[in-house]
Amino acid sequence: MRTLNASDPGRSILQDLRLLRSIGSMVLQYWIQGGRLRREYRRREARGETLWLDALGETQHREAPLHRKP
Amino acid sequence: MRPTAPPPPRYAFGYQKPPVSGNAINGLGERQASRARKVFHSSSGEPLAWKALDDFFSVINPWRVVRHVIFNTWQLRRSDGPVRAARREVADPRAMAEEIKAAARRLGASLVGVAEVTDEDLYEGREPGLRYAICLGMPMDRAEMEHAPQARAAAEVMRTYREIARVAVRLAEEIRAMGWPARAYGNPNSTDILMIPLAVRAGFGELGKHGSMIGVEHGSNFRLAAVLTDLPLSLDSPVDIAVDDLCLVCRRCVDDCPPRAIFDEKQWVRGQRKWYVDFDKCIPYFVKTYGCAICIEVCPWSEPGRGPSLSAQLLERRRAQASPSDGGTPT
Repeated sequence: MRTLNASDPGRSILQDLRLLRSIGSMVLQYWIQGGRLRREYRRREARGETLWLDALGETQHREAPLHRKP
Repeated sequence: MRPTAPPPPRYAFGYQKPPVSGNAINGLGERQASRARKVFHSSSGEPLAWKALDDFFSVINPWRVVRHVIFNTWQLRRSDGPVRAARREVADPRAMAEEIKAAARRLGASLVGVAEVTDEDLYEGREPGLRYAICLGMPMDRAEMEHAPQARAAAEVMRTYREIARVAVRLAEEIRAMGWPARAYGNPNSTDILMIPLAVRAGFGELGKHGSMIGVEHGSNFRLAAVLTDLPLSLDSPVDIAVDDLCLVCRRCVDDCPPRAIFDEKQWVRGQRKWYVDFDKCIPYFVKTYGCAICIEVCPWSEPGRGPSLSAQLLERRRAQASPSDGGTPT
């Protein structure tokens, strides 16, 4: 159960730096792993084949680095 | 507006072993009231039945879309924060609501309304904590949205979310500076609250056949954000702009939806009979086209400037039908 009024006591510069690092990871992941997936998808689309999502193994959401524990 | 050459609903991605139907998770056919369950857009990274498709969607979106998500993520770091110790007491919640609405408009919101947060507005496993939701709405650039279902429209959707989230963050900061807790919600991908039922009760409009909100000013061509707070505010009321009067006879979104995902009749969903879009048909097309948006743009209500006259005409027709002796049939 998550209560939505858990008020943030205030962000520190350290927290902002951690978020920036997570956003950086997110961008890298989008371009590197995501780029690989996008190329594979386009290739299969052009050939009329199907990219099986459940055969990709453990996939990661673009925003996964934001949810990673520091 | 008519979509220009939307791609066919054929997919170069899929599941060998499809997950449980998203309609079942959404409670389609359930006559018993229950809380909404997360099915697609993940909040806090929790695993969902359709995770692989959600993950795929998140990385195939073009950079012009993703960059707005990144900026939004950065600004939403201030969605919550410390509350000023000296609290401004509120003797008149109505005057306070007017003050807050003026502040929201000054910050850039086009629509502002207040609703009380109920269980119906929260996903399963979430507890409200804060009593009121200040709902915020902002129109999208119609010229950009006319490119739906192309990436250009998707970029406009995320740009608008980024802008309305900025308003929510700033408004929450202003409320915390008054000594009241306030939290901004402005990320469509990871939220705990259901914006539409709140916005309906805040008087923004009604749920349309295409499963999105329809308001009198912008039709469906707008996006939502919210600020949850305990600041005492007077509540707004739902409005009747005669959405059902048109949706019951109009088939524009049904006919223009490439995957045929829009039901022509209301469905039972978690104890309510309401308009509903078939998740299993809609979402693959939504993913393929980076968010589609055909249905909200072809909706007659979304034509700029048409809403007020359409609403007036439909309400007048309803009145005339209710008492035929009062006059003729409006055109």
